[in-house]
Amino acid sequence: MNNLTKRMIKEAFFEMLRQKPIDKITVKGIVEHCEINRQTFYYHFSDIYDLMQWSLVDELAKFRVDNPVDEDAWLEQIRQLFQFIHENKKLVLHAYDPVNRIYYDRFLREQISPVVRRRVDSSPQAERIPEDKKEFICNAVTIAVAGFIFQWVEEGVPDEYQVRLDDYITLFRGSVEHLISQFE
Amino acid sequence: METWNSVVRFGLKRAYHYIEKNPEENLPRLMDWVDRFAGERLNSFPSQRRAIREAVNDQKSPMHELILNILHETDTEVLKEVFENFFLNANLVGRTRREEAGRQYHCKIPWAIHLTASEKGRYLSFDELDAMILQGKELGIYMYIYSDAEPLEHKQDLVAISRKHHECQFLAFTDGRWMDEELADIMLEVKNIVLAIRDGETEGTTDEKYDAVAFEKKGQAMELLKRKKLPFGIGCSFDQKNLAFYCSDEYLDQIIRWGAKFIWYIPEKSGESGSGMTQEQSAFLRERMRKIRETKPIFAAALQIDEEDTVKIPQPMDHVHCGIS
Repeated sequence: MNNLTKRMIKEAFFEMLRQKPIDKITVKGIVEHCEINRQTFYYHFSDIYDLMQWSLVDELAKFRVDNPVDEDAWLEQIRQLFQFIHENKKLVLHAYDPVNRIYYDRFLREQISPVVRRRVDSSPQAERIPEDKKEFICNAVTIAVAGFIFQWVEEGVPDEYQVRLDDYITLFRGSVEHLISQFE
Repeated sequence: METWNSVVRFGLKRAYHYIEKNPEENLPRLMDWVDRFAGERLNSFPSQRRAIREAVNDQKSPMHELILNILHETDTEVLKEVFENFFLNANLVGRTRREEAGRQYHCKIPWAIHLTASEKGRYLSFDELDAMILQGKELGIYMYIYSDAEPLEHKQDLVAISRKHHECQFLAFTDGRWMDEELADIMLEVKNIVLAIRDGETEGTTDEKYDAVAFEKKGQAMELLKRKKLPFGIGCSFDQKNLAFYCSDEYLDQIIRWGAKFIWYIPEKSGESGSGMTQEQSAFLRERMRKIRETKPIFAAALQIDEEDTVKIPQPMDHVHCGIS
């Protein structure tokens, strides 16, 4: 039941976000739209940015269910993240502001890091690599992926990203393989 | 809540790293971090920090054992939040603002605010609580205490307020009967609510007549909190007849076994004198609290009653000074 209310709030938020940027959206606006009281909003979310984070994660989870990708195909999962952002371009761009950048950063790291980590852990050499080196590989590749996504978002999420994406994938694949062999 | 510049400059994330990875070994480094953070400020609680550092360094001290128990038995994310809200916001950062505001408005700004229902004869609404806390934060107050009625009966409001004011620390006195798995899971999510389980309201209690069954029910709430790694303590109301029992080793050992990390003694107000405590009892209580801190891994504190019979919240150093410095 809690998730039903949260999703209702999320849908209202997305509807408003398609029309205007996040700094023009208020809790008052959302509660009026949903016909709930402020206490109900704050029971679930601490503020608009908290709502945005949860909504992105929830929407991405839904996207993954509708577009299943093999869990072991880590590069496909990264590609899927780009695809998700492209399909929700308007929402992502309207929600992007200097305050929100820190939340986007957290969202991206939380989505990318476990994917990279699974790749590192599943390599045949995994047992021979010290834990701090595994963390380093994970961190370095996560920062690289997130960095490219930010650059792309700041360019306005242009449509011609598929070609560049192939280059990014080449970089990520190569980096992980090289670092694993170096740290073995 | 602190400016982004300070957070980055002092590396709050680094401090969290100490809490996450091997907190026991990293405690001295965490104290170094606190000293660096506090160092630039006026009134940076040097004696309190020294007292904590002594407890950190002295492995034989019960306070050292208490600190380790807190580190091992508390959910890591809750620990980080309490560290930021209670130690940093309510104490170090908030104090600077409170003193500024005090000079501005020519009065003493309290460390904490009691959110009481009884004045209006009903629970305060979400909007009323929200308005009070917004004003409180302006004055540098980050500690809020639900000290009467039964705050968990209106858990929706409690959760909503705690979530909205995520940089504040909330303490709620409760008899525990509304505690359930769902609320425990939400408390793990919001992270800034600590419960004080009420005890001591049985009249004329002596150790023979102590109602173990009633206590057992509170025990279920405490067992749940302990299992979920949520920190809690006891809010102990006492009167002249039962003070000795509630200060006894037997009682304290029991609540420590249940997982309580603090006990807050609150004298029952008596109709005649209004203060509920004679000078003799006051002295007895102070002495017992000093002894408890020297021998038991639990933090003991007491609410003072002043002559107008209004309950004042003392500055935290009043508690810590008594028996330590």
